[in-house]
Amino acid sequence: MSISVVYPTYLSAVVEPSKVVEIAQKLNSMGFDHVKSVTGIDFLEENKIVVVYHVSSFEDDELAQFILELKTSVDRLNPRIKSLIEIWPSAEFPERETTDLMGVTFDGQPKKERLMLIDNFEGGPPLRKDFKLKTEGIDA
Amino acid sequence: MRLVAEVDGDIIIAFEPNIGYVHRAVEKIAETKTYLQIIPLVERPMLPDTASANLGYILALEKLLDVEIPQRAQYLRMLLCEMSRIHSHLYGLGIFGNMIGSSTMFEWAFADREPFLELTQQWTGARLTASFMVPGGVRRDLPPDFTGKVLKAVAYMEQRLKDYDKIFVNNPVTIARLNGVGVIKKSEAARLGIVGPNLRASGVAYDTRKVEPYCAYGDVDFELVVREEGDCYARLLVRREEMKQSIKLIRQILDKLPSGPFFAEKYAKLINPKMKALMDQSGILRFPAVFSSLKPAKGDAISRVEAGRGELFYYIVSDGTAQPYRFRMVTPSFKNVIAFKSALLGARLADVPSVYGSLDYFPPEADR
Amino acid sequence: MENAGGTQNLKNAKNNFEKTIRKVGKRKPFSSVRNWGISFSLWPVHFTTACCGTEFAAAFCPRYDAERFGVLPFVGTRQCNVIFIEGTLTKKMAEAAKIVYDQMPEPKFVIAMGACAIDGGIFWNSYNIVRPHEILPIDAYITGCPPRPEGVLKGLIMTQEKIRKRGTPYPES
Repeated sequence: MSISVVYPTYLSAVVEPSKVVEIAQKLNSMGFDHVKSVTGIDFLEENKIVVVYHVSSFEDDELAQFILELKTSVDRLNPRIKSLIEIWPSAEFPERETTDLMGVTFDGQPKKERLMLIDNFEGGPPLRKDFKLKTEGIDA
Repeated sequence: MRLVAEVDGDIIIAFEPNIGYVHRAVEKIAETKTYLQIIPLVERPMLPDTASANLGYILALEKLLDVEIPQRAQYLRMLLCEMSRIHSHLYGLGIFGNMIGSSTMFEWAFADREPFLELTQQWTGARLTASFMVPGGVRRDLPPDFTGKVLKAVAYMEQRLKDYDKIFVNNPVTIARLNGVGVIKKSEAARLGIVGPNLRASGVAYDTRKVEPYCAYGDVDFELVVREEGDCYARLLVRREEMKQSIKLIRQILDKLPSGPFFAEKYAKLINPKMKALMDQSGILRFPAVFSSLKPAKGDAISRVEAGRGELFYYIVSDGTAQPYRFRMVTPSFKNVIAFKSALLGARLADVPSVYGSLDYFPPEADR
Repeated sequence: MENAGGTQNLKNAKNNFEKTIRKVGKRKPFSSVRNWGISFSLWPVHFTTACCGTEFAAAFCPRYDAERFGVLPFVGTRQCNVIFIEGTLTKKMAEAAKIVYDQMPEPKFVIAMGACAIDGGIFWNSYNIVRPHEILPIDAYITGCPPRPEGVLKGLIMTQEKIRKRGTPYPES
């Protein structure tokens, strides 16, 4: 795991997928009590999807100034990662949105229905880079 | 949105919100537009409170562009945000009154939004979607004798808050319907991740303007409004009290407004000299040519601001080209969806409108 | 047997009466009165589609006061005769909009409000939206993003004039 300081209140850490749950439990006991967002970034050439968690604190005054970012990579053809909903209940809706729009499966999420899209949506997960939209001036 | 409730007689035993009816894919469309074209796109989900959406995006972008904003522009940005907060809370109170049956509150609240929308229009040119803040500063300076009009509007609003007390807030019907309904306890509120006045009504003293002061919020002083009960009535009182704090902030901002330029020097020297002369004469910004394809540095940037409904979070991943690689926007209403599940367990079916109105949920904002 | 004949005569008389009423009702003084009545009692369904709903609600506030035109937003679909498509129609919402439109009784009207309801607006290349004119027959378009409340009133007045000038069809049984 490696940590870097992007600017004084924003810390970024790259972790391996197998260690995420352990690190999340440690952060929870330190005082980071909620997840601000769960993002998926698609890298088509490198064949990976990077899942990013942003965590911070509401109740601890000193930790509330910092936002800590946890980045893990999963394989693009079979993106599965353990869900952090047991440790941080606030991750429920952001994780369900990432499953719906990016196609990443979180093991441990109780609800399997889609959140944002209709049930018979065609064309694969929309936020991936191979799902193209029309752009003005090029093909519209 | 669609709410699915499982009831046993009249008591709710499970509650599930079904969202996604206004999902217009702002995040995907932002990958096909240039950085300046994203400004109107980002304002549309948060229509009652567009100034904060605009400000949050510009703060994240300026971290990648490395530009210094003049003091007068910081104060003007704060002024628009506070005026926007007042009419966003009035919208919330109006819809809340309509949901529990008080159409007088609905009509009064919407009528009292009009002075602030009229002032916004005289200043920026549009009622709601002003698109006023650009990287480097703001787009217009204050018109002449604007300060007097704003002070008159806030004095009128202070008088009206007393009328609202008589007709809605201290009304025995309101108190009977809202007292003790939809309680979210303090220990749950922080762990569920809810934000904004809902969090402050449950006892957690958290406001992004105090934790990480952006613009010039470190130089002005206001109090955090916190209540302990966590029920619908507490949320109503927090919103009403926050409007008073915004009025106090507006008076301080107009008092301390410094003089100077309203656009950063780094970009102002790139404007064509003829256009610059027009700009100094009329007080309206003319864009430099570099804005048509702004290329910020490669890297990540985040920013958070306190909108009317709670904390708004932006995350931009840029790869050095004119379009962002990944654009993430997490709105306060999306974080508040989870409050529906826990606030309504054990309540009666007729309490659903009270809780919905008190959480001030705006569906286009949650689904983006 | 006698009663059967009596019932048949009653049915014939009723059918003839209805045919006469329809023929006479399409003529000048009666149809004008009917159209005048319909145009001043258009009740929209409470069906907020997207962000234009903010300015639609503002059109009912005391400054612009749409209720003086006879418009009253109502919650039951069976008692309403106009539907405002406020803003973008996503795929999930389009299914609900079609169901609500089918539940309304005839004669009914549709007013499309905002740039998104005309041809997609600022979200024209989104993967999740539907153009309203592909699923519903639209009577008036209101431009703007969001339209000013005066624009909403103008769209309403245009629909009222259209009803009075061109009339509305009788629903054929």
